[in-house]
Order: sequence, then C-alpha cells, then structure tokens
Amino acid sequence: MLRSSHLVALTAIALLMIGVVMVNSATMAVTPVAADATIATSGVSITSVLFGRTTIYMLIAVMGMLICWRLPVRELARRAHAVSVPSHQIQRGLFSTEFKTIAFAAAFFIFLLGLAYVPGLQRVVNGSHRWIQLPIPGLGDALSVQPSEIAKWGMVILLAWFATRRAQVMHRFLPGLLPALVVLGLVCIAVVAADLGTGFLIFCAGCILLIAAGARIWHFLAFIPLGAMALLAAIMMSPYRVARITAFLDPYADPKGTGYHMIQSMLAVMNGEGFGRGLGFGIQKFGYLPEDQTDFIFAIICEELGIGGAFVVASLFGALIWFGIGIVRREKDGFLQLVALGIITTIAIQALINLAVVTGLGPTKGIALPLISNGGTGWLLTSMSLGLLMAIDRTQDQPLAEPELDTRPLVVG
Amino acid sequence: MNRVPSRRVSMIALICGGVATVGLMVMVARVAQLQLAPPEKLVATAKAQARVSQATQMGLRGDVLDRRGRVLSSTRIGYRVFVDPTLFPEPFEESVQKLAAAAQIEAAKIREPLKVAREKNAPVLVSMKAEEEARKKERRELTPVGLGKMVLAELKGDEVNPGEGQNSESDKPKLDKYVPIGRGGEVLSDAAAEAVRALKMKGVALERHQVREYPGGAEVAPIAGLVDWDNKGVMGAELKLNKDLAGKDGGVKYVRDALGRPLWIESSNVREPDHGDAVRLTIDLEVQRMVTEVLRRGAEECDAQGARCVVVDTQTGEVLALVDVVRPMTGLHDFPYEDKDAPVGPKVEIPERRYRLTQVPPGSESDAFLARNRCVEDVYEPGSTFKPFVWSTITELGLAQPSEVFNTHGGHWITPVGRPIDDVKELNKQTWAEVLINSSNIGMIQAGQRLTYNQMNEMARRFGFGSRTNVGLPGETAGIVTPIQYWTNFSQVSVSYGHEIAVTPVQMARAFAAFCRSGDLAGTIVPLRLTVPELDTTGEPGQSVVTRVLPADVANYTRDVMGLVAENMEAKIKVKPPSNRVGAQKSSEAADVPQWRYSIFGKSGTAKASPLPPFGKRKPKGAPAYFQHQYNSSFIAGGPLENPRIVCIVVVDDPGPKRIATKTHYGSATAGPLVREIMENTLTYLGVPPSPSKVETMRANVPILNARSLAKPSGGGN
Repeated sequence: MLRSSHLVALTAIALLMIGVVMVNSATMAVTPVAADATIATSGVSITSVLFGRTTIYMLIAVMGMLICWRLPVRELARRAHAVSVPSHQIQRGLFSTEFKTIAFAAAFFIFLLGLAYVPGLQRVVNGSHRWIQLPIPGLGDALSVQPSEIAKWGMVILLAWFATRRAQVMHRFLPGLLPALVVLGLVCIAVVAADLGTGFLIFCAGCILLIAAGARIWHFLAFIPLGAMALLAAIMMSPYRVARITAFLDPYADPKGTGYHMIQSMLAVMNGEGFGRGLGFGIQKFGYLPEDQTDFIFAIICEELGIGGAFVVASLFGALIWFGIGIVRREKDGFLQLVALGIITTIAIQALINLAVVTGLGPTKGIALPLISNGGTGWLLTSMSLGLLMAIDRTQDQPLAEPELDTRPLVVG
Repeated sequence: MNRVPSRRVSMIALICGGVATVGLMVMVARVAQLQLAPPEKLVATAKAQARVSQATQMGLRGDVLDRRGRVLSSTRIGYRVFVDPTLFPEPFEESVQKLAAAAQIEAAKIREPLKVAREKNAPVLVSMKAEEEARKKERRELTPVGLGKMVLAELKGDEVNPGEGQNSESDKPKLDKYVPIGRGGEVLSDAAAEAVRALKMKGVALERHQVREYPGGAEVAPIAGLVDWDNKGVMGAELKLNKDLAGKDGGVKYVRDALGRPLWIESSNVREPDHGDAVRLTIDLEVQRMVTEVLRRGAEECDAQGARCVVVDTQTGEVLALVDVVRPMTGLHDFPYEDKDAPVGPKVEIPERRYRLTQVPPGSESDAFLARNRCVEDVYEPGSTFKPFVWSTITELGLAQPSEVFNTHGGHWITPVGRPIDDVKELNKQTWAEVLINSSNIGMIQAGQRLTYNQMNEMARRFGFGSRTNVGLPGETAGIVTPIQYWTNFSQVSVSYGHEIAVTPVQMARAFAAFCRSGDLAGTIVPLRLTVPELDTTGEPGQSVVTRVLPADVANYTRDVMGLVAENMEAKIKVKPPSNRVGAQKSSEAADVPQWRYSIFGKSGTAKASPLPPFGKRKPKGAPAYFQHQYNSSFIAGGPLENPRIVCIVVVDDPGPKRIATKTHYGSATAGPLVREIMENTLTYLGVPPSPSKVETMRANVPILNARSLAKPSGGGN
C-alpha cells in the first residue's frame, strides 16, 4: 500500500531530478573549441548528465534518504529520553539536564560554524564564510560542507527534544521558552554572521516549532522588538545587506550594481513568456544571471519551462508539504511529531523565501531552493531529513514503546 | 505515555500548510504575471539589455569586366587597423612606434588621430571617474547613520534621489573607442596584417575592408573609373553603374553570452549579403590597348597635342574602344582665358602662338584615372567629316543628283554671305558625287543653299548632334547646334561644310553608323552603349530602339561614294601592309602594290581648332574665334565596305607646324592612316572575313568627271 512516506520519497526524487536536469542546463556555457575560434558548445549531453557530478550527488542524496528511512527512529527517540518530564521533576537553572544538553549541542554547532573562518578549512565564496572544506588533496571542493546546513537540521531535532522534555512547562516563560530561545538566538546569530537567509530561516522554523510545542504566542510577541532590533543590527553591520534591502525597494536605481541580481532574475523569469524558451534555451544562464545553478535556479526553470514548469515545481513542493503534514497529524509520539513538523516547516519556509527572492518579491538573501538548487550538502541533508520523516511514517504502526523516564544527565555528567 | 498536546501540533501544521500553499500559489501567480504582463520598467530594461549582437557580412562590390570577361576592376578583402585609445598601452610613443613598424605605416599617421581622440576622451574619463566616486560615496552613506539621514531628509521632504545619475545616460559625452588608422587607402599588406595580429597589442584590432583593384590598367582607367574609400563609384563606369555594382551588406543577428560570444542564431535573423552584380562593359581591353598604341604613335608622328578615337560596333551600338591620348609636350602656350566672374577687361591682343588645346587636369599625367574623357567631354568642329550627312540629306531630298555637275570655280569662290572660300582640289567642274569625294567646300555650299534653314537644322539634330549619346560616361557634353531661331545664312553656309557646329567623337561615331549598317537597317542609327545588354527572357540580347535617319538606298549609295574617299586616302599611305586579301593576285605587278585585308569607306575632315574655355573661365574680349594655325584633323570610317561591322573615328588634335608647312596636316594624311590601321587590326581581331577583291562595279555607279578625283587603281583586276 502506498504510504505517505512513499509519496514523500517520490516527490522528493522528482524534485531532485528536476534539480539535476536544470542544474545541468544552467551549467551550459560557451567553451572555446580552438585557440582563436569561439562557438557555443553545449558541453551537456545525456552521458554528461547521467555520469556527471550532479547525478552522483543525487544518488548519494537518495541513498541518504533511504538509509534514514530505515532508521529505528522510535528506538533512537527512546534512547535519547525524548519524553515529557513531569513538571515536578523538572530541574531548574543553568545546570538542568535539558539546558546543559542543548547548550552543549548549540556550542558544537557554533564551533562548526566557526570552523568556516579557520584558514586551511575555510572556503570563502563571494566573501562569505559559509563553507568548510576538508583539506583532502585531490578532491578539490567535492568534500565541502556548509555548517549552517548542519545547524539548520540539528536545531530542529534539538528544539524538538527540548520542547518534548519540557512539554509540561513550555507555556511558561522562564523554564519553558527562554532557554530554548536563548540557544536558538545564539545559533542564529552565529549563522547570520555569514548567511542571513539561513539564520532567518532557522529562527522562523524554530519559533514555529516552539509555538507548536506549547509556547505562548504573546511571549514571542514580547520578543518582536528585540528580534527586530537584532535583525536591523545584523543588516546594518554589513553594508552589502543595506544595499540589498535598498535594491529590493528600487532595483532600477542601480541596475548594474546592487539591483543587478534582482533585475537579472526577473528578466530570466520574464523571458519565459508563458510557455518558456524550451529546455536548454535559456539566455540568462550564459553569464547574465549570477548563481544561476544555485540560488536562482528557479529563474532558469521559469525561463526555460515557463509557467508550466513553475507550476510543477510549486505543486511538488505543495504535495511534499501536505504529505508531510499528514505524517505529522498521524504521529502520536510528541518528539517525533515535532521533528516531523520542524522538517516540513524548514523546507516550506526555505522554498518560499527562495521563490520570493527569485520572483522579485523579497530582498536577495542567498538561500537555496531545497532539493533543486545545486549543492551536495543541501541535497544530502534535506534528503536525509526527509528520510527521517519517512522513517517516522514507516514506524507509525509499531506499538509504542513503554516510556522510560530517566532524569540522569544525558551527555555530560 | 508520552503525550504532548498533539492537537496543537496538528493545528499549527495545518496552518503552516495553508500558509505555504497560499504562498506557493502567490509565487506561481507572480511568475505568470512576470511572464505574461511584465512591468514596464522590466520590459524597458530587457530592451536596453538586448542579448543580441549582429555580425556583418560584407556585400562585395561587383567586378567591372570587359566585353570578353577580362577583369577591369575587382574587389579583394584587405585589412585596416583600428585602435581603441582607452586601451592603447602606455608608454604612448613606444606603442605607436611598435605598431607603426608592424603595420608599415608612418608613425605620424598613427600618432595624430590617436592624440586627437585621447584629448577628446580625457575630460570624459575624468567625469566618469568622478561619477564612480560619487556612486561609491553614496554606497558608503548607506550605513545606519547615512540611512537615518536619508530617512530624515525624506521626512523633511528634501529631494534625495540616489538614482539621479542614471537618468541622463544618453546625454553624456561618449568615449571615443574607435579610431581607424589611415582613412584613404591605408590597407595593410597581408604580411603587415599578420605582423599586427602577432603584436597582440591591447586596443589594437584589424577590420576587414574592401579594396578595389584595377587590373585593367591605364588604358581603360578613365572608362572603368574609380571608387572612393567607401567603395562608392566616383568616376567613369564605377560612378555611372554604381547602383548595379554596389553590394549591400548582410548580417546575422545572434544571441550572445555575457562575454559577447555567439550562442545561436534566432530564426529569421539572417540576412544574406547582397553582392553587387558584375558589369560587363562593351569595351574590349585588347582593342582598347591596340588603339591606344596606334594613337600614341600617330600623335608622336604628327607632333600633335593628342588624339582621340572611338570604335563602335554598328550592329549593336556597343563601344569597343574609347581612347583619349594626350601627349606630354613642352613649349605650348596657355591661352589667356579669363575668370568667368572677372569684369570684362579691355580688348586683349592675342599673339599668334601654338596654344594648348587639351585641358589636362592636374595629376592626370601620373594617374590615368584623373584624365578627362575627351571623347565625350570635349567638342570640336567636324569640318569635312560632316559633309556625308549634308550630302546624303540633299541627295535623299532629290535636291541634287549624283551626276549633276557643279561649277566649282577653280577652287576659289566668294560664298553667298561674302566670305572667300577655297577647295583643296582646284577643279572647275565636278559632279555631285565628286563634290563629296574631293571634299569640295564650294560644291557643298552651293547645294546647301537648296535646303531650307529648317531642313539643314533638322538634319543635324536628326543625326543626333546637339544631344548627348548617354553612352554611360559621366561629364558628357551635348555639343552645339545653333538653335533654329538664331539660324542665319551664315549658319547655312558654315554647316554645309561642317563648321558652326560642335560635336564630340562619340556623336560622330553614332551618326556615321547610319552608313555602316547593312540591308534594311542601313540609314538607321542605334543608341551607343557601354555595357553589354542583358539577356532578355528568351535568352536573346534586348533589342535597341533604332532611329531611321536616311532611306536605306541613299545610305548605301553614300557609303559607296565614300569608298572612293577611303581609296584616295589609302593611296597616300606610304607604309602598306602585306597583302593577305582573299583572292588577291599573286602576280609580280600586285606584289609591289600590297593590299589591305579590308575595304573601308570614310571621310576626312580638317577644321581650325577654336578656344574652348575650361569650366569657370571665358574667352577674353577680342579673342579670335579660331586659332590661326591649329587644327583638329579627323578621319571617320566604316568597314568592311561590303558589309560594315564597325565605325572608327580618329581625331588628331593640332598636328605640328612641320605638318602644316608640308601640307600634310589634313585629316586624310594624319588621322586617315591611323583609322586604316585600327580598322584593319580590329576587324581581324573580331574575326571578320576579309573583303573580296575590289570590283569596278562600285566605281561604275559613281559618276566621275575628273580623273584627279580617283586614286590610281590599286590592283585588283586591271
């Protein structure tokens, strides 16, 4: 019988395949064939697509998804003591089990993010420290990861765990919301230093997760001024973000400078003229639209495949989200339910931000379209998190394990 | 049991799903909006940033060919250097020297235009730099404080428009980034082009340029003409036929990548270059060359200032050769022409000297292209060569019979208008036929009096005098025929023997063709042409409209009479060709009287030359109507006699004083032998069968009174 997990897998693989095709299309470039003659050579053929790097990345991603699918998530959740602690047993203060655990994990994420600034490990792209490159000779940038990606999915699990443990007090500010918010805030700030978009994404997904776990909305409302100030500060700390914001408000003021990305992206979308120019026949990818394989891949999809292509991609995301929501609603285990919700909201928010940026509805942020934008780390981790979602669905029929309450410290003594 | 408030999570999940779905729908709608109804600003940007480039494909100028397809003018691709002064490497002088050495161009020719461009660019570069600075500053101001200031300014209502600089894009002075080196013929040799390419100097590039070459050489230069740097005809056939010859550039519009490299061609964006048509002239390079040679020699022998010749195919009106030879001479005097605008001065005493008759444009001695086409541009008085037209018209009208005897008063007479007139042959009585053969002025004037003024005037116009031949060369003159309202008996008398009328050699050739066409077409004239006619749909050359000027029998009869004129002329030629006439007797008698291959007919003429003021000048007051001892001696002939194919006229301009002293300056003695030789060579070259042995039947037709009218029979029978 076709289960939600199967549908999720099919949708995800469909999106990945669109990604492979479109990334290959966007890779097309003019290659000089002779010393003094330049003609357009596609460099893209069936073989180059089938045996190219993107296909290998996709296969790795699918394998990661399948592995995660088979994970005994319930057993793992039991081992992680992801159960609600009765309110009278909840420890208070900085040295409580829950806080120590999430603080330690957050510190680990921040450490990873910091590695991107270490010479020898860092890989600086366009002036931002988003990548760690394992210095293994001969592999080039094949083994480079984005720590923010790890933090993104890690925070989902971490917050879900915390919220589950403190489910009884989540509606209270001090023992419930504040520790989670502090950790979330710190990680987000660390991420924002290099990648505003992802930081914003982690923060939004985290907040939704905490609200779902029982946090009071008015507690968040009280934080809005603070958050806004933090956002403003982050924007103002680096002038290029200001430029991006002003460019969003009027990209035509400086069409060759700050407004360039946005105008070129919208031009690419416009070029589709309804039916699209045809697969491979986009113009903007030939050096006009920067980051056409990653953040702006959707513009190329619109240009080459038209409204139909955009509709298919949006529908697949919609389907993915609703299949995921189905799993969330059927789930009885609180921890797994929150994890599933976190995964779905993260993907949904990321996709929406990306589409908004590409179509000129939001300021340029540098955030990838999940499962489609070129990027091994992104594909692998997104697929793996979807694998987790599928694993949750796979094991929903299994009898619930007898809950086991253990208040011993989990990680550190 | 592990129970979190699962209903709350479900709720939030549903809300998230709903919001996400709406969001995705908004995105698709936005895509649809951008694709189907994009905002105007975006469309404008797309238009401004067209991803399309054009590659030009040269439309080559057509070749000019002679009638047999020999190339007179052709086009090849050459290379020219152009420089982007903003990229030209420093130090300036060193780079200039390097480029000059490679391109084999004088350094100054590179330095000067570059300097001009650099000076022009300097202020633009400064303002561009300032603008860039301003933009950077603006960006720096977008800090919190700067932003705050901007917001404050906005609130106060001050105008702060960061994008102001972009609005006046089109008004800005543009950088000069294209400086061609050497306008006017500085096309590199292949080796130099290769050397420049090898330099790989920044900002230096080669562009293709069409270079016109003239393999036809100096003989046809004034006819084939010349093009300017932009390959537009400026002289000769190149100018007249520019429309046919000119090519139109084609091009391909292609989509390019951000670096300008071609990607692909969008459909319907290919325009084939339109190469110009090759034009075949009727000129035969070989005949032209031969005629030039003969004229040069002839002018030298006669000590003449120059000579002109036109050879026309009388069947089609095609001009086979059109040669103008000007002999470089010293010791000639320039006639004191006055400026047209100068006030009329007192009467000037003009001394009798040998004046320069030919107008030589400056530089034409070294550059044949600059020479005038005197065959179409300069007029002369035809003198006796005009008599056949008058004679045949009077005969046609029945006003004189060939056998009618005229009293020619021993060669000295006073004309009805009171002028004394002499004949060369001093005879008392001559038949009307003899009047033409002996070129009797007295006889012609007497007969001319029988015509009305109208008839005489109309005769000249009918034969095409006073109107251009439109042969296809620029600068052609129509000649001068006195208009009928000014026609007096002076005109009547003068025109009778070819004076008071100004003609060009091409007009003479056209008119004389009336006697050079056979059968029904005899007596008709055909328009001259310089290009080979296009084949019509049936594959036949298009027919020209012919004009009848005489009845065929009169034309043929006049031709027969002129055959005797030619015989007389031939008798005077000292050097004769070896006989190769078909049927010629190889007797010992005939051996010392060698014969010509072709019989011809013709008429000589000698007329005093008159001053022809050049453009913008006029004759001074008191200037004589004619130069006293300077003549235009001409001979016009058709041949072969039995079935004419070509007409040839030679005008010898001003045979030298020695010739005049020995009375050998007449047309039959100067131009005649040249015509004879040209006819012989041309007809042989054209492969015309030789004339049969001369028979007496023709002479029997022509009533002769005086034995002196005939040359000693030159072989052939008795």
